[in-house]
Amino acid sequence: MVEKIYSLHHSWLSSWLTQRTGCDQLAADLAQDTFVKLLKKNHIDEQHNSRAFLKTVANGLWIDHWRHRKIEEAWFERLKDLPEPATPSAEQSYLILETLYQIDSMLSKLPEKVATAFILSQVEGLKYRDIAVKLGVSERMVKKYMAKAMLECTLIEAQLPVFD
Amino acid sequence: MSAHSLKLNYPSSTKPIYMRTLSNTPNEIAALEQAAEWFAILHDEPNQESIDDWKTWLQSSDKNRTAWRQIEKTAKRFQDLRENKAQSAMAAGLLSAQQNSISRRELIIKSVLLGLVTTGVIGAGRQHPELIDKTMAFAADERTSIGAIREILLPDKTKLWLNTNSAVNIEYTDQRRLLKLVSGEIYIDTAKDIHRQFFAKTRHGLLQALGTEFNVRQFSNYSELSVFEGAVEIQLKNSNIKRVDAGGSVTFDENRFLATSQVSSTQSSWIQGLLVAENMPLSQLIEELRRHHHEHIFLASELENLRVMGTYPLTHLDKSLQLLGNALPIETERRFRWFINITAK
Repeated sequence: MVEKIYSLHHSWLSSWLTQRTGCDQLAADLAQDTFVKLLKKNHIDEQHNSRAFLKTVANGLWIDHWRHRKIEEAWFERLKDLPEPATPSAEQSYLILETLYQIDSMLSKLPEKVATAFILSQVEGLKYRDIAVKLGVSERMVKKYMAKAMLECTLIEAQLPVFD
Repeated sequence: MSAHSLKLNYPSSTKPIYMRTLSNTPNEIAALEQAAEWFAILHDEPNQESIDDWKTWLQSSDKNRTAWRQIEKTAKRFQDLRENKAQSAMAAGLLSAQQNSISRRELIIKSVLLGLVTTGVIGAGRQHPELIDKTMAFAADERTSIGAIREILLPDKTKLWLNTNSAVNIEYTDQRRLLKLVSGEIYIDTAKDIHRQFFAKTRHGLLQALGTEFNVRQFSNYSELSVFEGAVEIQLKNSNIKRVDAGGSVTFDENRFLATSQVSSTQSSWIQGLLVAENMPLSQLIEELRRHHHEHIFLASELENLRVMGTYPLTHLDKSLQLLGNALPIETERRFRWFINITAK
């Protein structure tokens, strides 16, 4: 079934992605990844044999790629400012990035202010009152954001079933 | 204070996706909601009353205790992250992926301010000039990203080159021509203008060009000037002045001149995208390559003082590494996309 979908859709998907991303190589990688994702599904049927469906999957992968690049760039930029002994090794960097991708994927479903408040508190270690000032909201609101984000992350961690 | 005072109201369209699919364990979800609210309250300077109320909530049912354990498990994940010294780098990464709708200038200013607050710099009254530079760099008139080298022709026919990750503000008026080096490194070949003098400025001093070709690089604590033709006069805040002629190089900070040395013409070869090494320590060469590339390059410490000769293409990392591998007893490994590890053979 996947072979059928591949032969029907692979070439227009690659062109569409090239147009969207502006980069041949990236488009080719994303197109491949789209079909790999399809292969991993438990069962595949006619509903997956559609442009709309494939575009959605490809678009999601592209957004993930973009997010991962942003994380990597900011990470490497900031590493330069760290004093020598604190610089992580290659393996450590890689593991940390993997963790950041996972956390980012959890947070990406939240509204921006909620996710920002959560990152500032849980990763950067700022106090609510400082976060409130940064975001231009009340401390009470920051607490609400924290609760909302914590709930979201915990639900994902608990791996409750999700609409795919 | 009770958990109810923080009531999370979810209009159905904004409910987390998981809640929409789970209709069979509303109690479990409700307990998790409450546990999350308690977490938010306890996380930041809770008063004794809150702590007591929480304990009461915890003891009142198994469901609550189970929910709390799950919340704690998630919280532990983040606590582990915080033990790492690179917290602000991680936060910067996560924030960067979040903020795709804010303008670039705002984003950078935000992350720079975050950096300043977390490292306690503002409070301690110290300066962290490099971070401030990065903010200004995005607002600068001309800038280069990592790895880019640009040649720009200014309105008076002065030629300006920007090295990797650099930024300048161009302030030409009827009276004078001024370039402000916001960050990084530039090379200038001034054009003649009998009516207007040419100045370049770094954080550390003002340079006046006297018919010249020169290179200036701004580091966080000092600037470095190298003159290739003509002469440049440096003026510091306290009015100390020093003239530097072709072949000379001077480092200076706001208050004094630090060191002088000779400069060879090969030191400006970056404007052609080349690095010419004449008995250069490998650590210095690798540092130059790092400036031009995003990849994380590790160099084994025992290799740092190996001496290198030759010409290396700054913008082609793989080629440079290959040339190094041909010349020196080193092994280059690129296991992950972003990591390069250089070790002894």
